[in-house]
Amino acid sequence: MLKNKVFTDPLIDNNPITRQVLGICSALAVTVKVEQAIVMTFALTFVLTMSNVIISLFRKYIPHNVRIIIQLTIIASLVVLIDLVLKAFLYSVSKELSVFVGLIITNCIVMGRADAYAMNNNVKNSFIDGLGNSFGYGLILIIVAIFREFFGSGAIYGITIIPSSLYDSGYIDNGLMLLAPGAFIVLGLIIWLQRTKTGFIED
Amino acid sequence: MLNRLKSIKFVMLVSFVSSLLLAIIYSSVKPMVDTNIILDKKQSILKSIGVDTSLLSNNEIEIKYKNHIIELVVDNNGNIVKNIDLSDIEWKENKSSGQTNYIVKSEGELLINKYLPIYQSKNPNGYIIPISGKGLWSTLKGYFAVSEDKSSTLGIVFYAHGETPGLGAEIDKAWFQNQFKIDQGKKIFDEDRNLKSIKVNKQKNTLGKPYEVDGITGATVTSDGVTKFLKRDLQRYINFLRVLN
Repeated sequence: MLKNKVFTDPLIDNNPITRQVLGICSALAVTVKVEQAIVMTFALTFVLTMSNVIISLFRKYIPHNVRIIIQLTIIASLVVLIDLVLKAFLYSVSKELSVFVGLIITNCIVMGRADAYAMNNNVKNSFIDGLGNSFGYGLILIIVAIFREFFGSGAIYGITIIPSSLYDSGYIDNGLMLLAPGAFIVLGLIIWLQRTKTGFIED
Repeated sequence: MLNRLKSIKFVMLVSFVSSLLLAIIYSSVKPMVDTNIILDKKQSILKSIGVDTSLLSNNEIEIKYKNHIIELVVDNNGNIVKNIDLSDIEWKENKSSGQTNYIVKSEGELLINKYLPIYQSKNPNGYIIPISGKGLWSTLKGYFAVSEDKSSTLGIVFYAHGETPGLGAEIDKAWFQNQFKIDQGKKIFDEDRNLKSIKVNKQKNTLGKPYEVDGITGATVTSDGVTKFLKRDLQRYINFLRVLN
């Protein structure tokens, strides 16, 4: 039961983006297209679960006063690792994502979960917590990306949805959706919707 | 004090282990990454002359490249140089202008931009010129191809850029690059062989205008950047391009 809660909590109720309000920066950057959002989700899932596991494994040995530096070193190494793997085996994907993979280092979710959860919990739960938070993050990323790609480019996952007859009769894609403020608006609406439903208020 | 020493030791240990691991992994995948980069360039060169490479395997790309492309070096006066190989040229980016400088080491002397790389293509016949320059955020790098009359455009391709997705990054899209295809009738020289280059015009509506293509809405700086560096880079090959053989 506990295991399930560790996994399902961050999906919706304690979602890293909408509830913990972490990882906003990358949620703005990679949600222009659904495809990018999906690859980013996989990359983050790898880094977050691995860093959670490694940090949880050594949690009893990491000196408290330098824990942030240790966590950062581990996270940065993992990010460089996945960047190299993408460059070697999935060159075209790595070209698409370019700087965004490197930016996982600065994704506050990774360090937030490492310090708040993995430092105090066993390996198994940390692993599940990593998975749960990655999927919670990915879920919001993909929802935002669907909205932005649909209204911004008239397509979803690169497939044009809006018929050309609509364009001919004067419909224009909303350019704002392709810019960062578009993500802020969609994200704000999702958070508003969720908090109206759950009644959660920030203290 | 003892605690602090322990912390320092731990940090050193973690740094050592992680850098060692990364160094090992880096050196073991480095050859693969290098092959990917070279292959990606070859693929871009093929794409610039209109070869569809999206469904080709790595091997097929190598074969097509060998069959279609001849690597050449030309000097400032427009003559093809035989005694210098394309691989002798070092490509170095000027960080402020984004332009690539071509450096050849000859008898201890550095010759900058005296010898320029160019690719000759067979079927379709033409010439491919590497181009690079600044857009809004980043340096765009690509290839620009002209037909054998050295004026009609064959195609354009960008293999590296960091422009805004959905805006400046549209230069990567088929609708933009298709405007440079041979059937669009775009030209870089006028009748008197004056270099006109191609202007990326954000006003759009460039159908039938030989020296202009449609720009990208919302990406003025990227569009103007392409206009600017395309002309600048073509200017370097002017002596080669102006003469018809």
